[in-house]
Amino acid sequence: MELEVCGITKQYKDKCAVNDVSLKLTPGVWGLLGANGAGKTTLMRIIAGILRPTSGCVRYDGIEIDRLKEEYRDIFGYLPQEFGFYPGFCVQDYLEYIAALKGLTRAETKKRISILLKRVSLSEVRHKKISKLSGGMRRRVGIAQALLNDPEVLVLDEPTSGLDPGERVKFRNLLSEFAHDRIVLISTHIVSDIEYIATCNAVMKEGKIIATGKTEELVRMVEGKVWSADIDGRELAVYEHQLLMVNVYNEGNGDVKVRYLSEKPVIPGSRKEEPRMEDLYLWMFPESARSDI
Amino acid sequence: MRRLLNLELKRVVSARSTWILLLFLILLSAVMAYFPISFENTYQVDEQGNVRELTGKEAIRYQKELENEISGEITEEKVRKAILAFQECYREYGAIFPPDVPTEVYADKILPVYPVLDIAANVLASKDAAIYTMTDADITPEDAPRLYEEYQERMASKGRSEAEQEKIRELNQAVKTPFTYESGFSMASLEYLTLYLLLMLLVFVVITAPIFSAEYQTGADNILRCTKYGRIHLAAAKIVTAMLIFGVTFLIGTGVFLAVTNLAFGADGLKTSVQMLWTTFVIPALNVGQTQAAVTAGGFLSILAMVSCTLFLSARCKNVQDTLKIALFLSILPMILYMISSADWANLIRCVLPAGGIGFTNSFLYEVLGTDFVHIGPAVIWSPYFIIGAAVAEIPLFLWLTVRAYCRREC
Repeated sequence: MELEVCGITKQYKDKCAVNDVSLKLTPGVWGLLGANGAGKTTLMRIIAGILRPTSGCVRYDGIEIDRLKEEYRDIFGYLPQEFGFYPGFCVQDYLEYIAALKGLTRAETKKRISILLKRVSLSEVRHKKISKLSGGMRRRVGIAQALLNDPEVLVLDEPTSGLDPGERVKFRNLLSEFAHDRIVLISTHIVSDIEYIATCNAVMKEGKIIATGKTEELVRMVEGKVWSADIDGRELAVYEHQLLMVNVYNEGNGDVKVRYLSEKPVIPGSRKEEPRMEDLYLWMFPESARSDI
Repeated sequence: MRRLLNLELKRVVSARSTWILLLFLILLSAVMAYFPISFENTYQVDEQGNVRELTGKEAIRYQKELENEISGEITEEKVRKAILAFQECYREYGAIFPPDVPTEVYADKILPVYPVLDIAANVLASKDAAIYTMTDADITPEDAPRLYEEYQERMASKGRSEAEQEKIRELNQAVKTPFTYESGFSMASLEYLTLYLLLMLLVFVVITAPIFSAEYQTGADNILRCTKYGRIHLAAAKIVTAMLIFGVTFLIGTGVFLAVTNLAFGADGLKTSVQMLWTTFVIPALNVGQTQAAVTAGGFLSILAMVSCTLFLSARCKNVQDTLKIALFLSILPMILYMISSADWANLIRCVLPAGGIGFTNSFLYEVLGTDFVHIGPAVIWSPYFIIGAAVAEIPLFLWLTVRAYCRREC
């Protein structure tokens, strides 16, 4: 099983959202990392077949998805970043509707809905209107619908936005179990979502894939560039201006413990730290250090 | 597909707004059917000579008794008697309508023969005269035998060109004379039927407009079109659902309207030649019942064409507001064109538009009763035929375009 993104470019009038991206996705969880506007969603929509690329193609097991059509959609699950529900539908109705669209039989539908609602902790609200659910619950309904047909290829765009920490852990566990012999592509800018479950990662910036590899391989790119130091709280403003801060921890006695990225130690007494995905993300997207993270 | 259809149907009818609009339409049909019944009025003169005004069903019932003498075929003798009644009244009072004429005289002399007198006035009096303005010199009992001959001659002279006149002759050949009259039916009920169809069209534009575009607007289609049957099958299910809801509502709505109307006016009235109910110079060989059926069928096709067009717009537009604006504009465009121009080009556009058979003065009813023709190059087509032909061609075309637009759309 292989999903191949071959030289995909998506050009809008004055913007190239995806620029000649090639990627070979094999079974396992793939993390697609990138700042907002990096082109992740556009790439995912192209993979989902709901957006045509300006050039390039997507192949599933060597055949273009445009040719596979229904056959591809039959093994595909997709959770978009933003999506609407029918206001009149309750959770059960909505999932039944999607199951019918996915070609599940009545018996399969009943079974799958029951299993999935349990997995996403929505059994209790199955007869509640979706419009009355919280944002996190709606997101979980979205996750359930994506999994209804037990897809071989699952594409999830920012799946954990709106989920509380407990739900995020549950979701990660669910995905880890699910990903055996399946291709799961998760786009996120919340690195902790994929740090421990992603088999492989692709980092996207300004429409291009700038790095791919296993988490530990990618993390090695910032090895020797992650430092921590204790500073006087009054010095923080100066260093914040100079350095790429990953973490600032106020120790309460006026001292502050900082974790920062730099080619060389800048703060006297700096200690070298083990790099994490978050460090890599900030190293690659320094402009997001003061906004997203 | 059947399961998908059931679920789609469930989804659409589970929306409260849809229910409210559908119930409104059904309720409206009964109310609008009742209006023309309530408008009916006549005068009854008792044995002491007192005049009583009757309205509604009572008026319809009494009118039937009053017009008993003229029911059936409008023979030469009936025409002669009607003209005589007119002359007597006119010579005595210089008019035939109240207040110039005492109401009891009007009720006794004119009302029982009024439909025959009206047609005689239209056909036999000079072209400038009408029942309200003619004098006893304009029409005489001796003219009675000429009624149908004169009708044919005048009919043949209708039309703005030789080609139109040729078409009129061709279409008018089937009209049977003498005409038939059975008391009890009102032209107003046919007019209200067209008004009801106009309101139904507008309601269905509102119901249909969000079918695709609401999903684009909310992003719901992002998920739907990624599913196995989320393209052609879903588009087809949505179309069939819209058609089914429209079909059933149309059936119930017009069914209620016609049932109320025909029960109140009586089924006998449906046998009346349509020439007796309108301007006399009506092209097709239809009775009132057949006209009612033609208007209903024409309205059905026009609304169906407009619903199909709205579905296409819904599949094309990014949001419901745009769909609604364009669809509502297209729905009233035939009326606007009819009002602003009678030129051939305006007539052609008006009739080719999907809602061409729906409107106030440009409704399918008036097209059937009128003498409008559509000109395409040398071809001259009677406007009702053209409207029906256009609708029949547009329905599958718009539906195909809908499926195509939905499937090709990029999110």
